[in-house]
Amino acid sequence: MRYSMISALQDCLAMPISQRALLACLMIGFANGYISAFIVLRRSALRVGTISHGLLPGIALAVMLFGLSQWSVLVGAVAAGLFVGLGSLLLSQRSRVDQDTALGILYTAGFAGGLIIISRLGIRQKLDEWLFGGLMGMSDADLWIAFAISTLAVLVLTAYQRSILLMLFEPNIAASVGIPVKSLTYTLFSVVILTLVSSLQAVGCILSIGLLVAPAATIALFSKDASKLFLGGGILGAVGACSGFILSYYLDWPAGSAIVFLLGTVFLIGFIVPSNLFRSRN
Amino acid sequence: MTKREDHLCWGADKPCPGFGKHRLEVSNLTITYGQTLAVDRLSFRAECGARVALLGPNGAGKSSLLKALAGVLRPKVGTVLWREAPIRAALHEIAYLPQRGEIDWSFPVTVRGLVEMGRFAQLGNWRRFRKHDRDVVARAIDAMEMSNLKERPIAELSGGQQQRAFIARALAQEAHVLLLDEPFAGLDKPAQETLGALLEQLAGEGRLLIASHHDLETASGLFDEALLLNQQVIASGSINEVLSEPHLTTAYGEPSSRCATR
Repeated sequence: MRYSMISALQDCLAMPISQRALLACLMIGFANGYISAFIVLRRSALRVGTISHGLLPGIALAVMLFGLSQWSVLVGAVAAGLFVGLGSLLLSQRSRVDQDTALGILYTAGFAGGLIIISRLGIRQKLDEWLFGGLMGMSDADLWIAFAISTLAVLVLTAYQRSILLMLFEPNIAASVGIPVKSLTYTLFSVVILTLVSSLQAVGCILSIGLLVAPAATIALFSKDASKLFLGGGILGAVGACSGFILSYYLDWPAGSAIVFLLGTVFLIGFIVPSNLFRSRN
Repeated sequence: MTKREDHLCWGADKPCPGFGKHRLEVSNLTITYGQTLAVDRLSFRAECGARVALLGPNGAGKSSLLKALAGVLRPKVGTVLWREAPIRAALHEIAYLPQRGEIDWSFPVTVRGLVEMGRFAQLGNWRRFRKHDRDVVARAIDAMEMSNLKERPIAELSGGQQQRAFIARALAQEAHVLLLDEPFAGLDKPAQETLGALLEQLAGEGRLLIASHHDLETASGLFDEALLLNQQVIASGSINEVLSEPHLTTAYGEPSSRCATR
């Protein structure tokens, strides 16, 4: 039976469960895209990838200690993210340890530990959601968490956008006009970690880094103005997440993977096409 | 010490009567990185309208001193006063220009965007960017003769243009004191001369310019005063006094062994 894109969209919008998923895509996509400007300009994609993998053992530990619930997952993820993220920031400021090496070992070991705990707890099905996302299983509480975190993230990054831009461009100049560079960095990484946690439900901890990098990276291909990466990334993130979800509905793909795949494809197209145009003009 | 004479100070429409020139006063400043001593009990003073060269061999503490004056480093020992108040109270009056090598030139920002960042020091995070701010930015870009380059990304500028773009940022900040880390390094001769003339003009308008400088040959043509240091102050005063042979020998060693240290 042929199934048109339009009727897929209608079906999708008619079901409460997918309405919620779409709403989640809109909020999470926008917040992630907005913050991706910070990640891209600071060139911290790999570090943030490490943090996102570090969420899994945190969740596993919290579930083991407090039982399986929304709140234990949330608390475990936040605690693990703060531990790995702020810990690595501290490490890089305080010592000469080769950060890539240390993080490479720490996060794979942590991730492996998380997998072991989860397999012992017998909640394999949940594991899939945490790894790759479960948009269709969003509860009201999940939606509220996503809303609260997305709002907070966008507000903080908007309110301090001037300081953030100057700090990203040249931390010494930022410090010279009185911007508290260190505490601002810690604040922003805390916001990044919260955002990672909120996108856990949508795309899972392995794919979340794609959602948190691709939007602004794509805008950066076309814009020579760093301040445009924030809103541009937010819009692209929201549109990409929603379209990815509808696409997944239509093609029966896993939703989180469809979103990240779509955003990655858009980036690649943006990367290839203009340079071809440029070459043909010469 | 203070000359009670009127002078046309930067930013004022008429001479500031009777107060003498605005003064930067550094006393007993000591900067350390962990166990390493960068600057040792350094004291000096400078007044607005002067171009002061910081001279000394590599590792003498020139960059550290500039960072401390700019408020980037917070030394535990010593004081820095600007207009008789702690300098941290007037950070927006001080503009810091890092070495060109320390700047990420691939950062996506145009000349205009960079100069607009200069207004952030005045506006903070929340005050609106108004017509006045746009005017100040346009004037700063004009003063550095960059109007035709203002929409160009900083990555596509020449060395001299990059330096001027950063000075335009400082002008947009309406800074009274400019701290420049090796502004002439890596510039070709014509660009050096253009920049030299611009700095002379800025000082003539009543700003205080303090710049580290590694080339002793060109120093006397580009600066009025100098501070020669090697962790401690070796000499300070007018550029020609400071550049005398005994002082240079103290700082750099015997003339025959100097090539390597410059």
